[in-house]
Amino acid sequence: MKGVATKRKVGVIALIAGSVVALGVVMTMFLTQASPYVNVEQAKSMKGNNLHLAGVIVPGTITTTVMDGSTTRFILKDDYGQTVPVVYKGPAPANLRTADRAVAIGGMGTTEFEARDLLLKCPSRYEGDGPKVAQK
Amino acid sequence: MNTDIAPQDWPAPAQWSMLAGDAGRILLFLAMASFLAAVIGSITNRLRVSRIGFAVGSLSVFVSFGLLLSLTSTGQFHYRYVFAHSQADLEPWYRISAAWAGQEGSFLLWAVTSAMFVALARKKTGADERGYLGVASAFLMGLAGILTFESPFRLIDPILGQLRTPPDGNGLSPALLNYWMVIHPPTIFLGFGSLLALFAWAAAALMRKNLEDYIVPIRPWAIISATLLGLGLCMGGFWAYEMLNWGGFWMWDPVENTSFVPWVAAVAFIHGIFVQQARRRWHIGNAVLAAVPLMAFCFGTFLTRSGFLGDQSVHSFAQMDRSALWILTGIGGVVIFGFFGLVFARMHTAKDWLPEPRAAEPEHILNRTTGYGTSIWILLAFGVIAGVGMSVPLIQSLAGQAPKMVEEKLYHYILSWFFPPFMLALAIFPFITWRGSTLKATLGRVNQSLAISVFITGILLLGLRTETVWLPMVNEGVDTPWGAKLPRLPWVLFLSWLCVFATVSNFTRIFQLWRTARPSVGGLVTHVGFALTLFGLVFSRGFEQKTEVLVHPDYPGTALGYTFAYMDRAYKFTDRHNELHMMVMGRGEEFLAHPGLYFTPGEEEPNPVMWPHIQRHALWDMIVIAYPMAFDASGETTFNVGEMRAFKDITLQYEGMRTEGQLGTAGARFFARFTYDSVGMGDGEFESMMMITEDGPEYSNGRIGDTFEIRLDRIDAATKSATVTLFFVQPAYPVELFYKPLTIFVWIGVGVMTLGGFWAARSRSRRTPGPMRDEPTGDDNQVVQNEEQSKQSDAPEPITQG
Repeated sequence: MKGVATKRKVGVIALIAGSVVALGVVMTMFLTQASPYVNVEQAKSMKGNNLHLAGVIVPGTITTTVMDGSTTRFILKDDYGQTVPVVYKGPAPANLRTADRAVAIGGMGTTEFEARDLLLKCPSRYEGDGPKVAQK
Repeated sequence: MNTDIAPQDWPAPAQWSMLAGDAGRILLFLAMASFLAAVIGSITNRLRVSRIGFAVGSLSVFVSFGLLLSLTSTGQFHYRYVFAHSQADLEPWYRISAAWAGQEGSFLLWAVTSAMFVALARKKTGADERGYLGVASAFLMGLAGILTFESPFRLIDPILGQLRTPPDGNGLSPALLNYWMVIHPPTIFLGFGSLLALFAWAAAALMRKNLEDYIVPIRPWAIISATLLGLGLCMGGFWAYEMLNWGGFWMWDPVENTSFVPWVAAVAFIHGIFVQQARRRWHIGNAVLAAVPLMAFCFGTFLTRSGFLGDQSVHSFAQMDRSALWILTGIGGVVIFGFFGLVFARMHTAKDWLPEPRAAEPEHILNRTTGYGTSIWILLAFGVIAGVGMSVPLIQSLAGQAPKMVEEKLYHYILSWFFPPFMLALAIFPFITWRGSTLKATLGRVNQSLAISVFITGILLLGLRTETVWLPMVNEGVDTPWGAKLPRLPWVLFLSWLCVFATVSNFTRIFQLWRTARPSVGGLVTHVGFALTLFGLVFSRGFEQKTEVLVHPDYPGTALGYTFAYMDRAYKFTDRHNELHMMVMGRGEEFLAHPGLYFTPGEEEPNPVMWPHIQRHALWDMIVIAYPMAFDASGETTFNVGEMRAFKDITLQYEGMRTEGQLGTAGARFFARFTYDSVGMGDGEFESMMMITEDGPEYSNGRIGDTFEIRLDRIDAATKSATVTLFFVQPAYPVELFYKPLTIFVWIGVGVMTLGGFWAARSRSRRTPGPMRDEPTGDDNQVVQNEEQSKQSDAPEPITQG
C-alpha cells in the first residue's frame, strides 16, 4: 500500500508540474503570438499582413464601389493624428459609419493599408442617460 | 424617437410608476440589509435568522425585478434605464427583454437567478445549510450593493425644470431585436445563478470539514447548472449565427469566454463527483471544482465590465459606476482568495477529517479514475486557454506593455492541440471500467465503433461529393498546431471523424447500458449531443463557402450555382421590418430570399441595419445578406483616347474630348465623347460634361439606356485622357452569401445534449447515494458481460477489497 501511495504522490507532483509547464507554454504562446496594435507610422515601416491598425474613421471619407466585388475605402486617423487610406475588399460593414473606433487588420500596400478584416467598436447610442432637450 | 410632442407638453410621470421606482430602490436596500442579517445569523449560529434574512432578501430582489419588468414593458421613460433600453413601438416581448438588455438589468437578473437557485437547492443542503446560506447571502449582499449604485430605478434629469415622461426611449440596439434576445439571456443567467449554489455549498462543506455528505445531493444541481450554461452558450451561438457573426457560431469573444470557462469547470466538477463517490478520493479537488465556475464568472464579469478589454469585444457595455466596480472587484476577490484561503486552512488538517480512500486499487492504469482525471484536466485546459486568452490585455496592462489583440485563429491554433486527445477520451473512456484493463482490451471494446465511424466518415465524404450538396473546395490550406499547413479536406475530415467516433462509441455504450444501468445513460446522451454539436461546428466551418454577388434589377447576380434576381422591397427603408425580395434559382430549387435592410437616423447619414435570410436545407444552410444600395459602379476609371473597356455587358470606347469656353476660368466646359456597344441596349454614343464653376465642378452625365450614367471626373489636357465614374441609375445591392454544410447537426446536437443533461440530473437525483464501488457496478458487469459474449479472455475481474 505504501508503494501505491508513493506512486500516487509522484503522479500528482508530476501532474502539477506538467500543468504548470503547460500553463507557461500557453501564456507564452498567447503573449508572443497575439497581434500588436500599431499606429500609422509603424504600419508604414512594418511588413506582414497581420498588423492591427487602430484609429477613428475620418468622417465623410467612406466610399464603396461594387462592380467586380465590393471595395470599401476610407481614411483612418490614429491616436497621434496621422492618417492613412485604408482599402477593404468587401462591402462596408453595417456599423462602419457609426463606429467609435475601427481596427483594420492587414498590411501596408504601396499607398494604402490593405485590410483583410475590420473590427468595429460601436457607440453606446442605446445607453443614453435621458433625452437631450435644450433646457431653458 | 417620437418628437411630435414638444418637451413642455410631455406628461408628468404616472403616480404608480413613481411608487414602483421608489419601491424598487427601497427593496434593493432592504435586500442588502436582509442578506447582511442572513450572514450574521449564519456566523452567530442562528439558522432561523439566516433563513428569514435570506428569504426576505431574495423576495426583495424578485419583487424589484418584477417592478423593473413593469416599468420597461409599459414604457416609463422617465427612468434612465427604461429610456435607454425600451421603446414605445417595440413588440411586448422586446419591451420585456429590455429589462435585461442593459448593465443594471443584467446584474439584477443575475441576483434574481442566483437567489432562486440558492433557494431551490437549500432544502437538500442538510447540515451544510447554515454555512450555505451565509456564503450565498454574503455574495448576494454584494450584488445588491452593486445594484444600489448601478440602480435601474434612477430617474432622468428634469426636463425644463420638471420631471416628465418622454414619449419614447432609445430602444434596443438593432442587433438585439431578435427572438434570441428574449430567450438567450434568461437561460444563460439561470446557469450563472446556479453557480452560486455550487460555490456556497462547497464552501459550507469545507467550513464544516465534511466533504463527503454534500457530494451526492449536489450532483443533480451541478448537472442542471452545466446543462443550463451549455444551453445558454449554444443559444448565444445561434444568435451570433443569425445576427452578429454571419456564418459562424463562435468567435472566442471575451464575453463568450466568460460563459465558456464556468461551463467547462462545471462539467469537470460533475465528472470529479463520480470519482469521489466511487473511490472516495478528490475531496479537496472537487470542492475547488465546485467553486471555480463562480470564480471564473466573477473574473470574466470584472474583465468585461472594467474596460480592460478596450476594443476586444463585440459586446458593448457601458463602463460601470466606479463604486459598483469596486464592489464587484471586492466580491470577486473575496470569492477567489477567500475560498482558496479556506481550502489551504482546511488542507492543513485534512488528514484528521477526510475519510480514508477506498482500499481497493484498480488493476490497470487505464481505469475510470484515470479516465475521469484525464478528461477533467483536458476540460480545465480548455478553460485555462480561454481564460488566459481573454486576460492578455489585463496581463499586458499590469506589465506596462502595449496592448495586443488575441484573434480567433490564435485560440484555434492553441486549442487544436487538445482537441484530438479530448475527442478520443470522449470516445474511449466510457468503455473503461473502475478496475481498469489493458490498452488492448480497451481498444477491443471500441474497435467496432472505430470501424463504424470510419465507414460513416467515408460515406459522408462520398455522399457530400454529389452535385446537389457539394460545392467546389476552397483550396486555401489550414494552419495546424504542428506548424505545417495542411490541405483543408483531410484536416477537416480528420476532425470530423473524431466527432463521429465519439458519437458512435457513446451511442454504442448507451445501447449496451440501456437495460442494466439506465441512470448512466443520461450522461452518455449528453456526450452524443456534445459530439454531434462539435461535428456540426467543425464541418460547417471547415467546408463553408463565402462569396459576394451584385444584384441589380437589370443584372441578376450569379454565385454558388444560384442566380439572384432582384424583385422589390417590402416596406420603406426606414421601417425596421423592411426586406428586399430576391428570387433565387439554381441547384434544382427556387426560393424567395428576403434579407432585411433598413436605416436608422444617424448624425451625418442614415445607419444601415442588415439581418440575413437563412435558407435552411436538410444538409446545408444558405445565408443571404443584402448590403445597402450602391450607385457607384466602377470607381474612377481613366481612358486614353481610343481605349476600350468592358463593364458588365457593355463595351465603352473613349473617342476623344473637346472644350468650350476659356480654359482655367469659371464657365469652361469639358466634354468627353464615348461610344458603346451593349448586348441588351444595342450601340450608341454619348457625351459627359464637366463645367468649372466658382463653387466647384458641375456635371452633366452621359447615359446608357436606363441603366448607367457616366460622370466625367477630370480630363488631362496634356494627354487628353478622361477619368470617368460609372453609376447605376437604379440601385444595386451587394449581396454576401455563405454556404454552410451540415449546420443541422449543431441544432440536433444541442437538443440532444440538453435532453441528456436534464435526463442525467433527474436520474442522478433519484439514485441512492454513495454506491460502494469496490464491487462491480452495473456498468462494469455490462462490460464484462459484453466481453464474455465476444469471448475475450481478458475480461476484467471485479476489484477485490485490498
